[in-house]
Amino acid sequence: MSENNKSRYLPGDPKEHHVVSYKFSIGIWFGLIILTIMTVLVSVMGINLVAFSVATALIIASTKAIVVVNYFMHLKYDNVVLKILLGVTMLLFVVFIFLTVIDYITR
Amino acid sequence: MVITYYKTMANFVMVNSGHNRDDEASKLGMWLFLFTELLLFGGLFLVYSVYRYLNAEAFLEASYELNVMMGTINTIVLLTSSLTVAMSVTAVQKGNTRLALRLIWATIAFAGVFLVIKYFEWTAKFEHGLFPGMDHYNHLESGEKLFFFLYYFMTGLHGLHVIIGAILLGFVIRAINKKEINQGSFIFLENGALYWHLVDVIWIFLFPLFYLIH
Repeated sequence: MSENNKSRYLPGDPKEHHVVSYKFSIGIWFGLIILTIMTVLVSVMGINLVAFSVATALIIASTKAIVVVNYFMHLKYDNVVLKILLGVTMLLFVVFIFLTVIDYITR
Repeated sequence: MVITYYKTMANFVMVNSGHNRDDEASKLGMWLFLFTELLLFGGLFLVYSVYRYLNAEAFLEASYELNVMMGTINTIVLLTSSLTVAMSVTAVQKGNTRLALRLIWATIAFAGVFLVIKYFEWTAKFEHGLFPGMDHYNHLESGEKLFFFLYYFMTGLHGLHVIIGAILLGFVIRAINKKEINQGSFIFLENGALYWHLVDVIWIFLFPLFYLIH
């Protein structure tokens, strides 16, 4: 890509675009489908411990989200600034949740 | 000295003169917008978790009204649409715009499938009178009312994002046809794809929290 697209280069551009192969994307998709089927089975097969199944559902959902963000959204190969900003946003959200939860459980 | 400076600069900057293009900044702008979206839905998830904590039993009861099969199919449809749009970015990067166009059309088609399934889900609820203001709904206990209210609001807002995302991808297709998006310049496609993936990520959380409380 760098050969025929010299005009793309700007001073200060951190690096060339990382091209994710079709095969790799399909692999990621397959993993996501497996995780979806897992989360449905855990729920439908019915493990009756409510707290446990909520935790499993959230862990699987978070794993899927992390995979989508890193590979489909290319964050893994992107500028570190974006990663830091996403981290800050998530931290902010965790603070919201945390403060709300301690409010409700201490009433 | 001024002249030397100008000549040195020419080697680096003049290549792009006339076009102040900065893909990194465009992408940063898109991500900043996505953060506001995350916090918008984050606030709703916060409301959801508080009310679920206060009405655990009622949320469980009400969730049985939702169709797990349709929810699962919709999850798979959205994940697949994320795949096709991710592959379309790869296709443009490799210079294969024909394939990229097909993949984006496929993504829009999946968006349509998602909305049609959603339509059938919602109309089935309406037939059971399960919408705020309808008979069956009015006789539910308050916890179940809250569940359905949040269900309609959050999946409705998400559905709106699906529609906007599909329209955005329509503009991406137009830009590819006009050759504004090509192997050397594809930030618009990348940003459109980012938006589409965000829609997918939100659904990844909506699905277990509404359909899979068992």
